[in-house]
Amino acid sequence: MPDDAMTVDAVVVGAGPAGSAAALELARAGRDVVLLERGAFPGAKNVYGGVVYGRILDDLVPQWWNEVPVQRWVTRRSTMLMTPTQALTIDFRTSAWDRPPYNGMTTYRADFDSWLANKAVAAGARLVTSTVASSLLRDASGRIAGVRTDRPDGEIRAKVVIACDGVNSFLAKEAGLLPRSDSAHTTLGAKETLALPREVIDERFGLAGDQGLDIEMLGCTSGIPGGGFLYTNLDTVSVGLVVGLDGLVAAKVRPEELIASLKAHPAIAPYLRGAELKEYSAHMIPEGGYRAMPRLAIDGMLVAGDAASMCLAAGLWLEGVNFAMGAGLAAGQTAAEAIAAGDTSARGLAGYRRRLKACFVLADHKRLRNAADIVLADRMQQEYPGLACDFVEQVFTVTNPVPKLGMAREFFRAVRLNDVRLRHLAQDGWKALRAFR
Amino acid sequence: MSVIVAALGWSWQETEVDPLTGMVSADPRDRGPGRSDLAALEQALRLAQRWDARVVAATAGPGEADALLRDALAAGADEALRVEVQAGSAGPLPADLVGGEQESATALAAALRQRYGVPDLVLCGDRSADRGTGSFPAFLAAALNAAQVLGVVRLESDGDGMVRVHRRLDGGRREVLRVPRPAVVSVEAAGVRLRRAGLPATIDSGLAAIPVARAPGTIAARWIRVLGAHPYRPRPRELPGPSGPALRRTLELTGALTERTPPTVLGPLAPARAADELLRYLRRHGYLAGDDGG
Amino acid sequence: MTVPAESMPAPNGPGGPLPAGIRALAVVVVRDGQLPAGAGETVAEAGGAALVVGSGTREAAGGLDSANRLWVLERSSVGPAALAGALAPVLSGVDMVLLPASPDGRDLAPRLAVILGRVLLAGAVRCGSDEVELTRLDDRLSVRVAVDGPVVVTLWPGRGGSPGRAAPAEVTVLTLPELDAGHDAESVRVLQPEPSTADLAEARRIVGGGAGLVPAGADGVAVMRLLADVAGALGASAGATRVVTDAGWMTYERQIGTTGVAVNPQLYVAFGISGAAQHVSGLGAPEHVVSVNTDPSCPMTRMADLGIVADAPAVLAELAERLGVAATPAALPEEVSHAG
Ligand SMILES: Cc1cc2nc3c(=O)[nH]c(=O)nc-3n(C[C@H](O)[C@H](O)[C@H](O)COP(=O)(O)OP(=O)(O)OC[C@H]3O[C@@H](n4cnc5c(N)ncnc54)[C@H](O)[C@@H]3O)c2cc1C
Ligand SMILES: Cc1cc2nc3c(=O)[nH]c(=O)nc-3n(C[C@H](O)[C@H](O)[C@H](O)COP(=O)(O)OP(=O)(O)OC[C@H]3O[C@@H](n4cnc5c(N)ncnc54)[C@H](O)[C@@H]3O)c2cc1C
Ligand SMILES: Nc1ncnc2c1ncn2[C@@H]1O[C@H](COP(=O)(O)O)[C@@H](O)[C@H]1O
Repeated sequence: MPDDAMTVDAVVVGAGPAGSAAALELARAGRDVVLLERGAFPGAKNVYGGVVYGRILDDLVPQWWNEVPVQRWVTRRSTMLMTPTQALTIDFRTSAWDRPPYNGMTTYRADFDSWLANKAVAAGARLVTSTVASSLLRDASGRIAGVRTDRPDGEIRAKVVIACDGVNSFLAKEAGLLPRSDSAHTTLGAKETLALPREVIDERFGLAGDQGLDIEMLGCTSGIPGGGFLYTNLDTVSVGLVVGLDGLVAAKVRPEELIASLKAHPAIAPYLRGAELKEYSAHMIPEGGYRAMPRLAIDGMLVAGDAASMCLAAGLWLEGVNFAMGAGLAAGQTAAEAIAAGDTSARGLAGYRRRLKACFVLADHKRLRNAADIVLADRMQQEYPGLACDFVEQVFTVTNPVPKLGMAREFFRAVRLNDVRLRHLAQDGWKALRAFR
Repeated sequence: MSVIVAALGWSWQETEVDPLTGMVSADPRDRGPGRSDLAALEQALRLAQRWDARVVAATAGPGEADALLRDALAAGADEALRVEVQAGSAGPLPADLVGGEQESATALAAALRQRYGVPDLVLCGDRSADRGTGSFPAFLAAALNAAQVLGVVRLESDGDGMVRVHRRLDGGRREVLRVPRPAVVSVEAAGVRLRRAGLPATIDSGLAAIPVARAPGTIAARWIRVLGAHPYRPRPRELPGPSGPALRRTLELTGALTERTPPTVLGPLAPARAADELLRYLRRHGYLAGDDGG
Repeated sequence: MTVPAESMPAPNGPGGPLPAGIRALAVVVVRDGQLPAGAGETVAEAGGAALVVGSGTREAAGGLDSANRLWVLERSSVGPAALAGALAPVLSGVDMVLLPASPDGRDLAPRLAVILGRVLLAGAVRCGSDEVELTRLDDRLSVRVAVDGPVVVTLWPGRGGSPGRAAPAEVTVLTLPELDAGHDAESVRVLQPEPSTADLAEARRIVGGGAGLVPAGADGVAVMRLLADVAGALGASAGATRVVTDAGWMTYERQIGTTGVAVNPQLYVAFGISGAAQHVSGLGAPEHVVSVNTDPSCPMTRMADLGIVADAPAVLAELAERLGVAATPAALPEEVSHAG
């Protein structure tokens, strides 16, 4: 490594939620930090569904809700259990989510990521876009000492490198923290953005002003383990799926086809009538969660966000941005302290994991570490939605002159119809209770 | 030491026009210099190495336009200059797309004169992505009282510190010119790509302060009055206007007078026969010398 | 056309040698008798009054069918600064000065606007006495603007209707002192074109390729290269439909139609093109149209003078052989793929 390579306190790779949060904290601590982003601007290429849970922003940007580029505030959340012909919806609304500090917001990543990155820049971080970190620099002892980029004279040395380069983190792999490829623990997220006039969205989804709806779906992925979502933006709707890669490959279907059939479902189609397709996009999601997380701190490097598979993706749950920001924040603070203390070895950076344990990032992941298995288990995917739908259908179907069977018998009929084993039902119920306790 | 200016426009690169209403929408983040602007900067940097001249990246635009000047500095420009002009609208309105070239060019010329005198050479892009009339460089030349060469597809400096250019003419012809100093030259993107800026330069340019000049108040903007905008519909073919007596006119309108070979449809034909027929037709109408095509 | 060589010297100052009361005048810059693209339309748009300036003006003037009043001004060089200076006094009395947005027109128009102290309305497709229609954003948007005083207008070539034929015009020869009022670049020489690289909008002969020219699974790029070479051998430029350019088989600069280039050739030969409205509307008014298509009743064949029902790829291959074009030709020159 040439000695004229420029040297800074910290290099953060990736200006997504994790990277910008990390850079923001470092800059606030008065550290000289460079934030590298391969896109033309932060968020340019970033795909996600559409809901950000913003509470973690309290620690980053006070009164954030007054300035964050929001589309709609989620005040209504529905969970749909579906079969090809049926849908059972549990619908919840609360005005508590309709006022600060709010709960979830729909926002475009191009807007949100740029906004957060600009916070870091305003605090003194130096953002460099259209620049790809292509490899790690190591010093004589093999310790990570910076990154190499795809620009001329592209080497930059740093006391700490924070890898926030997203799922399948190239840097984490090069550092030997992640397996080269891991399809069992990655799911594919694919979505379409569809344009509808604002009034039409308000009408169809029963919303007003900047209220938004968030629908999570189960049983809509043609038997492939996964789930679906529909989010309302101001004048667009995001409809998409999250499905296991292996399942997708086995079923030999393309994600577009899955989305198409989801859009055609009798419970969804009426929402989307006349909507015009604006864009289709797809992206990997790390789903391994707690059990698949790599070492988070090694000599001279921290890993945060999707790069450390800190995304909580378990069918009904799809939270990654908030975890990424939480992790980035912790990484930034840890790095700043370590630099100040003059020890950026693995030991010096050990505080990172402690911080994450103490806050929701690792706590939630630990608690929900089995949730994915349950939500994505075959029975949950294929049998139970049918069971629930059939049961309700029978209960609400008026069969006179034939007298009603009564709840219990209707239930057992539905159980038989979907050949569900009661034993399994009991087991799974118990597992679920423990998993989500 | 001579001065080469690269004039870079702050224009909307990606625009969407609603095919029904003609509403224009654009993402402000896609605003910046066009491909030909960047080609101009690259040409400037190359010439500067030959002449050991200073390259000044200049724009007449709003504060956000500093971004493109920083990128130019990162790529190797020695100095930057921005002439303050009002921000314009969040998305291009029809009024932003017609006119204004003369005003911004005059403003930029005045500012350049003030700082550098009349520069030896100003390189511009051939057209901006939004207004796209290619007239800014000409107005700039007029304001600097410099020679102008527009639509250059090739640029080489011959030994004596002069520039020799190939410029597009009608019908695929090219005009070769020797460019005196001072001059304004607008170049097409043709094959020239801006060099990739180095990392340290890119990082440092982020902090670079951009000198800003106010447009002298004397320049009166003569706004063009926009009456309306709609999606462009190609105009219907127009028939010759009234000429001669009624009969002749009807004949003209019915096209009876223009000697057209009556439409013929041949075939299905084998390739060889088809080729024969095609070539015969071309020959008959004088598109081929008699002996062509066997 | 009768040419009464009635010469008059130009008095200096406003008014000039043009009779008063000329509202609109086309100014057409020519080189060795060659009219620029869009000259005819511009003259038609100006109501038939035209000033032809440059070298070989008389010969060129003869080609302006749509003119009913002609002035010619012979100048050895057409450098914009000097030319603008020389023309200013002549044009100062004319409310609307129109030029084709051809290279020389685009050169001269802004300089005229400056020297005459007028607004330039650049890139028009239609001109009325009090309203001009400009197009922007690659012809996707048209903007109607008011004419609030004397103006200089440039017209995109190939967008107007086909100019009508007017009664033979009188030609008045102007003479002006060759005062070199301006600072211009020195024109060294003019290189003649290789047809296959000519700008489509200017090409007199065009060979067009459509989806029908590329059999399923074939290498579209190679096919279109062959098309370009066959075109070259016929002294024509190559164009294509959107299906072809969308497929990336040819660059967008070569797409003919509403969202592509508007052309106005004499000859158009279409290979495997259905003749959709959006394509044909960009075709201008070719005198001769040939369509090679397997479908005898597709619009393209129906509007053709010669419709050949045959397998387009095969016919192209046959032609390539007859015209001695190598079947594995070199790529089009860089310039073409970037042509403005
Ligand atoms: C379809 C889909 C729907 C989702 N829905 C939601 C949702 O509704 N709510 C939610 O909270 N989460 C959702 N997620 C998850 C969420 O998008 C991620 O968890 C989150 O973006 C992780 O943030 P991050 O900063 O770790 O990584 P990213 O957001 O992926 O950011 C990584 C950044 O690094 C840059 N980068 C990568 N490599 C390099 C390199 N070598 N050099 C320079 N820069 C580099 C990238 O350009 C990118 O900007 C969804 C994901 C998908 C795919
Ligand atoms: C808003 C809008 C703007 C558009 N703008 C443009 C534009 O600017 N330019 C443009 O070109 N299009 C444009 N289009 C697309 C246009 O509508 C047509 O789709 C397009 O022109 C069709 O191209 P094509 O004729 O090559 O393909 P097709 O319509 O598929 O025609 C293929 C033709 O080839 C024939 N064929 C098939 N096999 C053979 C064979 N072996 N030999 C000979 N012939 C064969 C078929 O009979 C058919 O006639 C636009 C469309 C829209 C909606
Ligand atoms: N406001 C501006 N500031 C600097 N250069 C400009 C500006 N507008 C246009 N240009 C240059 O002039 C060229 C032609 O622009 P236009 O005349 O708008 O088609 C562009 O490619 C730029 O190089």
